[in-house]
Amino acid sequence: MAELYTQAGFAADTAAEPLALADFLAAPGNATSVLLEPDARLEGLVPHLGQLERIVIRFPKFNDGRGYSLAARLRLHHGYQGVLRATGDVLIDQVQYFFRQGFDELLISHAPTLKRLKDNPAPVHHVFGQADVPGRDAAPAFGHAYSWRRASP
Amino acid sequence: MYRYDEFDHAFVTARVAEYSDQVKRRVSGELTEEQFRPLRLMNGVYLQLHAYMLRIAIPYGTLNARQMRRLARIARVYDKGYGHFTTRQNIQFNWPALSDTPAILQELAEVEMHAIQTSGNCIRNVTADHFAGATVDEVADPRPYAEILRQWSSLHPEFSYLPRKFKIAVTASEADRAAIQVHDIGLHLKRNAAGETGFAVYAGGGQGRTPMVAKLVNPFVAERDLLSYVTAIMRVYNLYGRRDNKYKARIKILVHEIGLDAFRNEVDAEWAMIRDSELVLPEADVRAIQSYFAPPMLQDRPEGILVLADAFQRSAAFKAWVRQNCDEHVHPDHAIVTISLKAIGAVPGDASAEQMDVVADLAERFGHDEIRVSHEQNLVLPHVAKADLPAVHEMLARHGLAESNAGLISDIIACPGLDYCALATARSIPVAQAISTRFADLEYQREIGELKVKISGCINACGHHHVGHIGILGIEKRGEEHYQVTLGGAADAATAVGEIVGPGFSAEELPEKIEVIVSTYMSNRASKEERFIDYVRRAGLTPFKQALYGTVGEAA
Ligand code: SF4
Repeated sequence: MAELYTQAGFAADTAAEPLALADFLAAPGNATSVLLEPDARLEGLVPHLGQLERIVIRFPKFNDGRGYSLAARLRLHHGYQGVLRATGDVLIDQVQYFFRQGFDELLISHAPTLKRLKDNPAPVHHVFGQADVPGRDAAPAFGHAYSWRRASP
Repeated sequence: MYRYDEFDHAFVTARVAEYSDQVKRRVSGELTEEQFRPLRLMNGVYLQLHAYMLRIAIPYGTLNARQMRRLARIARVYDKGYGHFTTRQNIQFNWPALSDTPAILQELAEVEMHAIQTSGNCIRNVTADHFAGATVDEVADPRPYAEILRQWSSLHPEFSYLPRKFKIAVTASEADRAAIQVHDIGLHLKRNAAGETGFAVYAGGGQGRTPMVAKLVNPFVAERDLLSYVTAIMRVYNLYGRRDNKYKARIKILVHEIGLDAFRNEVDAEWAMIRDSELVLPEADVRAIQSYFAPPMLQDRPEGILVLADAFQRSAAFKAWVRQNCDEHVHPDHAIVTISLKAIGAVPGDASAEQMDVVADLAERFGHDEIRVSHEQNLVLPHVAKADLPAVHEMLARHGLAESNAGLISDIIACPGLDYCALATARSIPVAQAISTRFADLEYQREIGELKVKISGCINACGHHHVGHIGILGIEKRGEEHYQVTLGGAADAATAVGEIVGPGFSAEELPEKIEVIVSTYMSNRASKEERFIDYVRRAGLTPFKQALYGTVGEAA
């Protein structure tokens, strides 16, 4: 059973089933969520971003990193402000990368990952070196800036 | 050099704690080897043929004495008393116990070192010219930019699951000692006509089974745009690089398949979106990082000239060493010293704990506490007063470190090969030893002149054989080790992939065949000034084929 994990911990999944991108583009209507595969092209979707509450990006394998770049383009290029969800092969060691990259929630089915997250909170490092990633919890202690701009002791 | 602040300390400490926990879970059986594999790889721990191997990052090849001594200590306490310097300016330990690896990483963290991103499909250790900050022929020290890229790329959330590993190199010199054109991204620091600093950006170079020389993607990207431009390339590659076939996943294949123009268009479109974003690199940031790399305060030591003249009189060996292993320094009273890790018959790139300690001592006493690792698997003391060279040489000679062969035929690059590597199809170390022993006569080596021999134990080409003036690739043929020879490769400003000269040779035949190749050059070169590589470029492979096989048409 997949469970929803957010930066605030586990949460109930009340979201509606997202439309596949092709179905959404064929008839956007007033649908509010869409599912992107890693090879999705965003051009057709961009004019409709305003109506979307949730974009779900699928990670078929944990080591297929394309979804991170899709997230970057949505947040940074197109100013998408709605919820970003990762689904698929979401494992413990990527949790911090997802949050750092601007994902809000992760739909997790991997049993050992669920167990670990229940035993301990996610291992979030509050130290990163990038300034341009959209994650909203970014490194409070060091500000949202390059590692080299932080104050030295 | 760059010094850790509280951020870096917190960063590596958190990583060591996390990894210690993972090893504990592996040892207790909670994690299977399959689950543990990506975790250990992220910390530089490989499983090799006989044991685990730990690869430690030496950013842009720069070390201080304290760090070198720590490496010596690790070699002594946790390994068999030596370490292996690699063509990526890293060091590898070949025999650590898995259960010791957290302790080793802890020891490294204490001296501001780690093994993060020395493996996996992420941006690997950023390499730079090993003479950086000392050589006369550079526009500026390229290492501050390598450091900026290192910090920016460390645990980058977007670029940690790329289609394949990714290697970036930076040079600031026309001589290009960093081999930037065989990297995924090569950066050549330049000044434009207006005197502004920027980079010629190359992409899509690489070795392996499909060697390619990098293409010039942009002739001048301004300093402020460095990170946005590199990010644009990374994002295009991350999205469109092939993920269906591991052998076609490097950026070189993407550039090749869609073509340079289409690739450049994609990069430019992406760049246009992010050029004026957070990624702008203000001059103040660059200056701040540059201050970590301020050159040492070098005293005038005009007595150096006389000291050398006198020492040359007394020792021909010393004179030969200075001629071959010392390069011109920006300060005329100083020199850049290359410490050869290629003693005749030794394992290329290996250094014993004792040798590491000696180099650390010399760096402290005579070298302003700086050591470099070169991608040619040698060590470098970048700032030594000429007046101190006799003392340095004497100490090196006492510890088997004074081989006067930098750039000569016995200065061989070789990958670990079948002696260690699980992917190997043939041995490379014994082949390197046999060739270096065959050409042991230093007089003859000098007569031959510059000649770069590079050996790989399989098609992955970690020994850079494609770009060796003489390249040797070990393959397996009917259960036997067999060696294919290429000629004409180069990894400098005129980077080229070597051409296969003909059917390969057995390990026993090989040294003699190399001798035939060298003799062919020696008897046909226009003059001593025509280097081996120049001659191959001029005459092509025909004279070599004739000498090796008797006929010309036979080549397979
Ligand atoms: S070239 Fe092949 S044998 Fe040599 S180190 Fe690389 S993978 Fe191993």
